[in-house]
Amino acid sequence: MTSTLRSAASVRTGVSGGGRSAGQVSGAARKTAPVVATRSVRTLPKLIENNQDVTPKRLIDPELFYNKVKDSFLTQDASSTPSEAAYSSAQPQVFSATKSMIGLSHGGALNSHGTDAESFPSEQETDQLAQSIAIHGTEREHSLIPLEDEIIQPLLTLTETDTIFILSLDSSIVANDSKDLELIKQENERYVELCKSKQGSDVFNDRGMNTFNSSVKNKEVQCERLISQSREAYASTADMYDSERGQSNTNLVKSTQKTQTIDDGLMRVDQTRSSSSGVEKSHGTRLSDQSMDETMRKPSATNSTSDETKVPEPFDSSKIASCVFIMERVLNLNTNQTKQAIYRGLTPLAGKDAKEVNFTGLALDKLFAYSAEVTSNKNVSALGWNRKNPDLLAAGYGPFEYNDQRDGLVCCWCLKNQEFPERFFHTPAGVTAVAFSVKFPSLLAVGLFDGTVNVYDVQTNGDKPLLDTEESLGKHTAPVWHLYWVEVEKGRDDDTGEVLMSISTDGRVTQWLLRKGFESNDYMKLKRILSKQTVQKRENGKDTKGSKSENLLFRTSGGLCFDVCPDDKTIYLCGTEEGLIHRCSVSYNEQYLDTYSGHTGPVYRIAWCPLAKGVFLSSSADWTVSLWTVDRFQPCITFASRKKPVFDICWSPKSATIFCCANEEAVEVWDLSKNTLEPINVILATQQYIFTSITYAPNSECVLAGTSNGSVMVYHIENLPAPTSESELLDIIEQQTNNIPPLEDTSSSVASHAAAKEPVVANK
Amino acid sequence: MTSQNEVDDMIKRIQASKGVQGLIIIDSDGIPIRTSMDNDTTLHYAALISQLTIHAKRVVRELDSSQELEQLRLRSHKHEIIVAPESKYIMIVVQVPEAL
Repeated sequence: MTSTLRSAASVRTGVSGGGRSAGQVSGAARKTAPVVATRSVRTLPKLIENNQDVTPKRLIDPELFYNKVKDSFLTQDASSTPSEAAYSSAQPQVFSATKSMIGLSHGGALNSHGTDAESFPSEQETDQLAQSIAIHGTEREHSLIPLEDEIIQPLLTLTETDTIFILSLDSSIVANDSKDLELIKQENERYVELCKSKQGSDVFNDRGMNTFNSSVKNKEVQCERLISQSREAYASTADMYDSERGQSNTNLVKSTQKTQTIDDGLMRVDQTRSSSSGVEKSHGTRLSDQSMDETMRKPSATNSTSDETKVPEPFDSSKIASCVFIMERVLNLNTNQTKQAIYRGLTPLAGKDAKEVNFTGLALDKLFAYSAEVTSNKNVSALGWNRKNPDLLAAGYGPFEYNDQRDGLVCCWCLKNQEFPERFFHTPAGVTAVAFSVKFPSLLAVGLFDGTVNVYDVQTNGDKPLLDTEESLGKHTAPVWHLYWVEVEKGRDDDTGEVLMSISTDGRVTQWLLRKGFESNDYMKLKRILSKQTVQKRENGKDTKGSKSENLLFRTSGGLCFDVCPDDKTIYLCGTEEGLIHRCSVSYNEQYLDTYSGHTGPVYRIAWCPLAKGVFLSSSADWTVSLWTVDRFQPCITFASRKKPVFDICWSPKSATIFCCANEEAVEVWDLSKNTLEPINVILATQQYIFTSITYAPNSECVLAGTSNGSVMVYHIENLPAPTSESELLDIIEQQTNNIPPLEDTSSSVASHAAAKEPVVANK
Repeated sequence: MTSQNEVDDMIKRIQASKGVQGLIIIDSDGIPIRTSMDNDTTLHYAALISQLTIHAKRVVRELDSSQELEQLRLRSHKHEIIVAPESKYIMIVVQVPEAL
């Protein structure tokens, strides 16, 4: 009975405040939970929001249930209400918790009970019962009415359930003579004291807690599948460097999984884009994967990407200009590596065609030739080195004779590219002389066949000269055969400190000043100050030997070459068409200082010896090269080896007794210390061309010879003997001069000169 | 600076240089723009070289951030591949050097 009561009561409380009772149970563990059977139905606090009653509805209505229970219980009305029957039949089910109900009730009021498992089952069960009953009750209610007609009298059986002990603290009895008697007594007393003290003490406080158990409802929502993408950014040192400078264009690389949601084409674009800017992209650990993908994708995907990303711009090759430029030289280097190495004086890599060179004497080895289509069939008339860049050679192309006039060309060749000149300038007339400026190494002065002197700036590649003497008053009227930049002292503040000297067949050696607004890069104009016509060639050339004064018609004789003395910039030598060589000074423009006669033909070239003072060479059309000293008016030694005019000579910059000359048909290297009668080495020209000019390379043991078909051949001198010194040269000269009888008539002296000159080896 | 014509001339000269087997210019996406070799080879080169260039660029920049890759050369027994990257394009030349 009691149990049923209890159960009933607990049912009630379970319904109404099941949580509460449970809470009480859990709160005071020691006491047996006094089940307060409150009849009053505890109502849940109402939640009102927005003037709406949003209290969660109970799944079961406690009042209904209570009433039902009460009714059915008290009245024992075999009211044939199925609800009661349900109740009664449900009763035994109270404590046989059906699992299905448990689920339902859990949803109800019991979620907070999870912790106290012991005490709960009954409550749960009762609750379940209550709920189930209520449900049933409510269900039945509807169905009751129509069924009222058929009232069946059910049989109601009340049974008693077993006693359920929720908590049982049994007292134990101890015999008086037990060992722990004292202890127990003390314990008891202590406990009694404790209970007493509990009442009003501050230490113990009775407190009941109540938790609200809101009804819980399960609600399921379906959402779309979440797609996750991982993004990585990898900052390399380069990226950090860039971003420091604000130039970073890092893109986060989508290292996306190959999910089906990502458009394939798009991914490709991303990847290609990511790969394009190289370092700026972050690849993370997926670099290899991406790369692999790209390998496989790119060949096929190229079209699609270009369509997707942008319309590809038309290829503008000027963008890769520098690329191409370098590439050309690289290729050249590859093919010509050995030769360039030799040029530089390095030991070349052993190629498979390493020749066994067994020459004991000086040998000339052709390395390569500067020639290009643009220069084909043009006569090399002048060669000049750049002062600043000893690899840069200016070659002037133009015919020597008048009857062959064509447009001229000036090319700047560089060692790095043998197949095409760095710069080329077309000139209206044939080029006869070139010279690089000393002070402004980018200026190139070019003398033309028609007498104009142009100054080009080799930094640009335009055909238009920077300055020219077209309209100047002092312009030459005949071909300018030689140009020379001389450093002078600055006369005025805006002088450049450099003047240009030129000599031409019209008989004048002129000095050109570049004035006004002269900055290294842009010259505004060239003020031609025909300063002192430094030398009036000819004039009253009443030399004892050279009789220029043969003609009253032509007061001037054509000058063909000149050379400024390396020691004294005011002294220069000039050679004329008559074969006379005059020594002049810039300060005297009326008279020559000295005249040297010995040549019978026009003097094509004069060259001071760079190492020995007062010694110079001259080459002439009379097949000879003469060696002179300033104090002798006749040649000391004459070299003649071929029966062709000698166009050009040049001294070796290192060795005092070696020089080269360019005949029409050969390049000859002469070494005075070995042989004054014959060149020690000769290179013969083939049928197609003749050698027209020659020069030594300033930074290499090479001789460059220009030919008449437009190529400049580079010969390397091997087995060069130890450089001789000036004194040796002078000794040789002494010897020679002592051998030659002084004061011969011109013919014999010429002959001896001829003999002495020809050995000039044009191997330079 | 140098006009397009001049650069085109230079490119032609390169193609005519000694030992040059082929020349490819690819843009930053690896698409060949100009080539003197057949299509398959070109695509093959383009794909492989562009990746290599990226790696090489990274190496150079990682070692010293102020530097940029100027040129990359691959020499094998038979020939040499020279790669010159520019800001937006990469130029590839395959050459059989005479020196070899």
